[in-house]
Amino acid sequence: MPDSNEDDFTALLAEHGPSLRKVTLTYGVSAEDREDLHQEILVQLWRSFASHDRTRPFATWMYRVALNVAISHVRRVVRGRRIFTAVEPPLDPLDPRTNEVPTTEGPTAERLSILQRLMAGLDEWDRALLLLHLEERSYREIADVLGLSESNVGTRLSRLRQRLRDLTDKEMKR
Amino acid sequence: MNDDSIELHDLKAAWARLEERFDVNFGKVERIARELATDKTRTLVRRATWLPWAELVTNGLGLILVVAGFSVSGSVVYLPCLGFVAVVLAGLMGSAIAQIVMLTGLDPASPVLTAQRQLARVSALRIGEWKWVLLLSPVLWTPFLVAFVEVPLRLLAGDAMNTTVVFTSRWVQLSLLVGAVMSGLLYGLSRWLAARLAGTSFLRSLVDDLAGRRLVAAREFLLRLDGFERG
Repeated sequence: MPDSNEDDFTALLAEHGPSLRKVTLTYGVSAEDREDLHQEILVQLWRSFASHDRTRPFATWMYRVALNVAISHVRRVVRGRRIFTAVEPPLDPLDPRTNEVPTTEGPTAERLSILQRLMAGLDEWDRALLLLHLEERSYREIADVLGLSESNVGTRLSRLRQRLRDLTDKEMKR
Repeated sequence: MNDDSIELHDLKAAWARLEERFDVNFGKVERIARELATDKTRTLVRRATWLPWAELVTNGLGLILVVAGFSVSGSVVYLPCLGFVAVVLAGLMGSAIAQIVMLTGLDPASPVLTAQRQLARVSALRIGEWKWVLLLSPVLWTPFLVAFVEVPLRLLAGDAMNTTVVFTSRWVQLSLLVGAVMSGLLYGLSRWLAARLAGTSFLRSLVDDLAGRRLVAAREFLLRLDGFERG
């Protein structure tokens, strides 16, 4: 791979690096696991970069690769727990004990905590959908990344909103 | 997205705050990217794609040996054994070819649902293959032993090596019968143990393979994926 590719790749990663971190944060089950996943995603992105059509948006391509790697990764990790143990510990994508997550206080911390609980109850695809929505991606782009229709994206996001309302209602009743 | 609820909007703002820390940590990302470019971690990408190729080659070599054995076999009772082994090896080769085709056609940049469905199909195929190989191993080992001991000896030593003295017709039949009973017991035992066993992960993995639980999990994944796609 020529050097210009390497420079392009590094420059694009500089722009989109934080988004990749959020993918690993969403799917990794521990700090160590997130590092492994991050590395795995970078390797796959680099491998596939030569085949990336430069006329198409980098972000869409990047999310496709990153989410495919992340979902496959989490299936490998969680599958073992689901089958081999009676009780599966819930995923903890925003574990405050890890040093990756910024220390926040007040409403932001509270909202991140709600987000953590919401994500922990979602399957791999709904988690991807929520992640892309939180990343301010359009319905069209989310549909393109996941391989869904735009109307399906809208329907599923409405359900996620309802789940969020149910979750916050439950919190308030406590 | 004008219909965004206040709650999700609030979460978006909190989510965006995470970037502050990630921006600070970007130096690390860049270092990893450089390492990738210098090929230091390229070996990491060697995935399980070599496994179907290895199976294809070894089973292909085995099949050639078994087919050659038809002309040199010293006993009529061995011929069904050779035929059985040939069918099993051909089936395993077919499965390996199917896996290679599916994996070769897999584009990691294709839409997430498409890629995950393809990966899940490969996974289900592999698990199904191994489940039956493991379950039938008590039956399979007899014809495999006959095929891979008798045929090489015949090819190397000709009639000077008479294996029918060791693998008598009666022994082959009895061994197959015992193997069939053992296979049934193994299946029943694995289903009973699957929910109760606590031990090494390898052992649990083996029992889950035998009992078909991993195959069920792989198929459930495909069903959930279809359900998600339908909305």
